[in-house]
Amino acid sequence: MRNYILRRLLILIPIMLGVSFLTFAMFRMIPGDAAVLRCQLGCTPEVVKDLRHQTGLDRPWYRQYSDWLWNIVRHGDLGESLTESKLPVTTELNRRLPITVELLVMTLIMALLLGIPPGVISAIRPGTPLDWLTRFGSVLWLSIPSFWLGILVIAFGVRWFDWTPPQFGRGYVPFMDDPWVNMQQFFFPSLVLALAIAAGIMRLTRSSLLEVLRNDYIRTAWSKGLRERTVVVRHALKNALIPVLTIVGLQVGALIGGSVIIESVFNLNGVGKYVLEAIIRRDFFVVQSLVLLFAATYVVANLVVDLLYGWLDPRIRYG
Amino acid sequence: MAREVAAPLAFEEVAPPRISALRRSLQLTRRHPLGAFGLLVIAVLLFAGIFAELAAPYDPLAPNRIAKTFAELSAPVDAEATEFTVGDSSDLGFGQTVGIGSEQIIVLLIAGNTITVERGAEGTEPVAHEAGAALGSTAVDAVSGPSVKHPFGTDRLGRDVLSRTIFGARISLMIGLVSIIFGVTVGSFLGVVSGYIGRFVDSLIQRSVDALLSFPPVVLLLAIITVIGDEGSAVRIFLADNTPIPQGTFLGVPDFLNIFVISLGIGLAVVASVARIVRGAVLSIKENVYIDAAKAMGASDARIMWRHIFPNVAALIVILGSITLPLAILAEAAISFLGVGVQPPVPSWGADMTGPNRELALSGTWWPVFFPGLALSLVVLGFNMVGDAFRDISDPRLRGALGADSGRGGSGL
Repeated sequence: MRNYILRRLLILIPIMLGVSFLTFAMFRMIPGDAAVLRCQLGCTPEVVKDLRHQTGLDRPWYRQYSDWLWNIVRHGDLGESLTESKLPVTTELNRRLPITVELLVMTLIMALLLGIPPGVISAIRPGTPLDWLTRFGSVLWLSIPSFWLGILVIAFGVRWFDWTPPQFGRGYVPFMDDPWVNMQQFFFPSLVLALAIAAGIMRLTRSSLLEVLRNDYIRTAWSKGLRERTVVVRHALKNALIPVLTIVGLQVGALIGGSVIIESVFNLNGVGKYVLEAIIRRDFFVVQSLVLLFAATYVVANLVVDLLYGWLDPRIRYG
Repeated sequence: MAREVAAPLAFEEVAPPRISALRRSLQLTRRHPLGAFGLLVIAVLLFAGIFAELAAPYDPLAPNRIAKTFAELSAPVDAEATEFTVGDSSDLGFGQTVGIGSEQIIVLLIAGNTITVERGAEGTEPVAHEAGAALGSTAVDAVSGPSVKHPFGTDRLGRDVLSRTIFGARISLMIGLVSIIFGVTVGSFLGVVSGYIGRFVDSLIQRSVDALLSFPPVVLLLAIITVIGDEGSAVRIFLADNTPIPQGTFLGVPDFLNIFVISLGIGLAVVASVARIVRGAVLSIKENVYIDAAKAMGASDARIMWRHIFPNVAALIVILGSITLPLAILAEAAISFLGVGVQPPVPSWGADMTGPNRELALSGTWWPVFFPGLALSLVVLGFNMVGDAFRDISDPRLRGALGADSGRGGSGL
């Protein structure tokens, strides 16, 4: 078990090197770098040269990359922004990470709540109007773009209920300070982000539960005279959830990507908005560091999923 | 004894019952109503995209004006007169430029129903006017809500939202098709090569695919588009200098080169997942005996890949393309929404949902954002419904390969 986890974590190293170098290489390919974007109008070659020197952009490319990498390995220092603020990435992350983590955790909870129960209901009552409704709903949730739905929630919230998400006026309020305001800030963003993922979970729960319900041991359970609830919940659901769990793990990347959009729509100053701004400003050390973080999250989330398999299905052994 | 001669058998009609196309489509509609609905939506998208000029009631870029009458002449004037008598002067203001017939005049003084004007303003010729001629102007018809004249309303610059939505279909369709053709072609080429050749080539391609797939899709897309969409990016300069791709309007798409580059960027993001899936299919196909037979007959690797492997993954590739098309359309809208993709004033659904329109929506002017988003949702819904119906009808073997109910919704858009 421990060896398995270690081995999986070791895979992180090449992946992280790969994604960060890829990001670095991509942003080095374009001529206009952060220094040019920073001085904007009326900027003479001397000014640009000076700025390049200040930010270290005049070093050879392999030095830029290796220095950045070495700083992470030695000091855990993710570098600093190339923009005027020169904000260290670590400082920004301390401020922004709680917002994104809360958003993603709430989204995941909502996606599971909105996905699994309807999926189960439509699988145990196939062909009924309820099943039809659930399936139609899932196609609908899959198709509505989150940014459009997000804007509509805000626009019609103002129009009909005179309600705006609190972050537009007063910024982020931590849960510990004021749980009620905090929940208002995160309820709709997570709901909107959760819908598409819930739809995927719903469809998969349905098809996988339908498959499991055809098994012999389920027939045995029925013939023992067990109640439907026991058969479905105790005997079938656990096995049916294994593929669902895989999808949840694979969706982590999509979730992070979705947070870029949702944070921008709902004005949440999280990591997603940070990476968007950094990409637009060609602030590539920031992008590199964030991509590193995303890749690590993705790998670790999928490791957790693989470990959860063991709990769902005790036959699974880790070699 | 007369031999009985077998009477010729009555010739029975054995031709299969003829089912007309109409009947067949009605059957489809009954069995898969949602699929039929999806096909209808796609047909409307194609129609709107191809015939946007005919379907759109107004120019998507030009502000629409409404004629307004301020006053009417109550006595005829000749070409020299500077004093006009009007019926009611209350709507006129000092210094206002108004039109009368072919001429523009400036109101200098208002005394009761008599106004003093400067003739022939803005380079127009003073001419005589009849009694009853209207003094009016055309004002920009900005931010008016849905009405009979503008069913989807007008935006802040007085542009017709319906026309912009129709032209947006063309941009979406264009970007979707170009990116899918590029992404699926390159992706399946890499997939076939990687799966068939194996060894070093396979590792190289698959590790690159791993790296690309561990980016969150939206972040990857944003980075690619920012990099290759840049003014001075090598890709753009290469395309502008070495290919006949026009930079201006082409096929009714304004700023064609820019939009083409964005499509390539989206296509590039598609390559990785297509390569991965096609490789998986190739790995099982190449174990077939007929591949060994072809090898024994001395066929080259290139011939085997092209003549024996490719035809067997072709169906999968077509389906992959049709599944990815709505995702590409959604991706374009998302990055344009984030301000990185198609730039205004080009009518793109994503770009129309952001910037000033979004600000307006937050204060209650919902129509410039609502309708482009509705069109986008309907198109994606249509494709998803056709996809579902198709999966019900088609070969169940494909289900595993496409991950039936999985994988989808994985765009995070």
